[in-house]
Amino acid sequence: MSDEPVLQVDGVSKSFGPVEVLSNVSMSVPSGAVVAVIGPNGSGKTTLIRTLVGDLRPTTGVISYVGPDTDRPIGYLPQEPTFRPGFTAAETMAFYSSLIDGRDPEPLLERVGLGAAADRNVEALSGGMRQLLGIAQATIGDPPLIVLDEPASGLDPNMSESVFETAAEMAGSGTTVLLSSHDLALVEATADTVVVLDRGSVAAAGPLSQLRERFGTDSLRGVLNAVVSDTEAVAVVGGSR
Amino acid sequence: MSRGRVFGAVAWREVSTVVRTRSYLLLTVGLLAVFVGTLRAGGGLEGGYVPTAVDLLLPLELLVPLVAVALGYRAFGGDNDDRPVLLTYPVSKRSLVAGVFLGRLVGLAGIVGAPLAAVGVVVSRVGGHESRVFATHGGVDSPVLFVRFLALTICFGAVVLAMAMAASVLVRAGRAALAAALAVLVGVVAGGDLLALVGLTTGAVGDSLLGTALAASPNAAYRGLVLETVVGVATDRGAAIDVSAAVAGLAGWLLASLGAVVVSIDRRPLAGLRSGVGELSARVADALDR
Repeated sequence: MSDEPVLQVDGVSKSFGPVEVLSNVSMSVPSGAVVAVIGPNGSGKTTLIRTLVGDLRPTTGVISYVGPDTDRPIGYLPQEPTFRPGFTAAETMAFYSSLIDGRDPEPLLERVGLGAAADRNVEALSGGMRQLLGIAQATIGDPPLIVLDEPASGLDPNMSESVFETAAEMAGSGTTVLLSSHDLALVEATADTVVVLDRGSVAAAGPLSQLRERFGTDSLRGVLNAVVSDTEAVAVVGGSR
Repeated sequence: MSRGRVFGAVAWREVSTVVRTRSYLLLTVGLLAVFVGTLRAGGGLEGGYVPTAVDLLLPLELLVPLVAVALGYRAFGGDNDDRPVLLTYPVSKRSLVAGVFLGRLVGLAGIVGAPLAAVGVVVSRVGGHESRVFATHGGVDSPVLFVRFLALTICFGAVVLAMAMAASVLVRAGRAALAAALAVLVGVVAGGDLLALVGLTTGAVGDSLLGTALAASPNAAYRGLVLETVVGVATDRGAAIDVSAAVAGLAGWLLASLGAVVVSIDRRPLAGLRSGVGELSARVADALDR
């Protein structure tokens, strides 16, 4: 991890009609780190991630990519990745690869454990395998920042662990990985920096050790419980409508 | 990565999608069956290319929009919607829209053009003496006129395809997108003619403006161009429509629709309009369900 940021977020808010989902979010994403965004359901994690990758335009505020100049600055795994039916996993990867450098995507499939399923049609892949294909897709072109929205969703515990290990390896080789997850144990084991969202705002952010010290707890769950106002109910921002 | 290569990759994926979707193959077979049935009833085959075109004109005014909407309304919806991911690649909005449009247009040309070409081959075998002559002068039936008819049909399909794609982008939710696509279909097939008729009966459109008013409707423009540049050439009876106005009308719909797709593709502008159209379409869908 280096002190140089790869992404700078300044005062970002996002509203859908009258509902403000993100409120004045500011953060810096350090390069070569695993940054985890955590928070209860409805706290705005996916909206923040979609805004960071450019899928949503912030209502106010600025997001600046300040990493190395490259053809694909940000790789992205959406929360629910979609793939064109009728194409195999290898063909799907080859298509995305052809948009960048046309390199053989087979090693990327091997890295996420999908080598044996390369010739299987995407609609015949299980939910977890689709998730892995989405992760492989996010790494095409070696983007300096890879954003994964709940990468462990639908994966068994071993595969979830493998995904987080892969994220850590990528960070070790200089790639920044920003991910959201509800699996606090894996986040705790992998993340260098944690951003806790609560009702659309950054409730706490920083290196894990600092957060533990600051909130006088020895676990990430303790940090989350200390900063989130109500851990029993889904956060509904902007009222009932 | 050049724009050309990105465009080519996107277009090729669309062509592959159409080729791999069996229902589109069935659509081609279905169209051929309709053409054969229509021509057997109308007797156009033996008459030559122009009578064949005349027999097929009316069914094509309905079937071409149907195929175009089938190809276009999910171009950016459902499992085909990977825009959030694609926009993280060096893919410009224009390259993406142009690639998707051209790829699907190639599919449309195959679905509609293949059975029409097959009909043309049959006419060359069973048609009259004139059907075997490549005429260079007006007043004679000719394969050239049938090729012109086929080209106009594909152009008409391109316009409706672009309109359906615009509906697909503006209204993304599944059921609302279907309702919007149906609205495009009904609007193209009947809307323009009905508006012109209403304008004529209420006096809003005078006789002198009728040709121009019809040119603003895609299917009326297509019909008029076929009557003017295919049937009219062979029969020496033209003046069905103002040709330049009809061409401008079709080009206007095409460019406006593709422009709407380019502007809306990254889900940023027109958000309010999109939600409004979505709400309206959902209400239409609800009304249809009842």
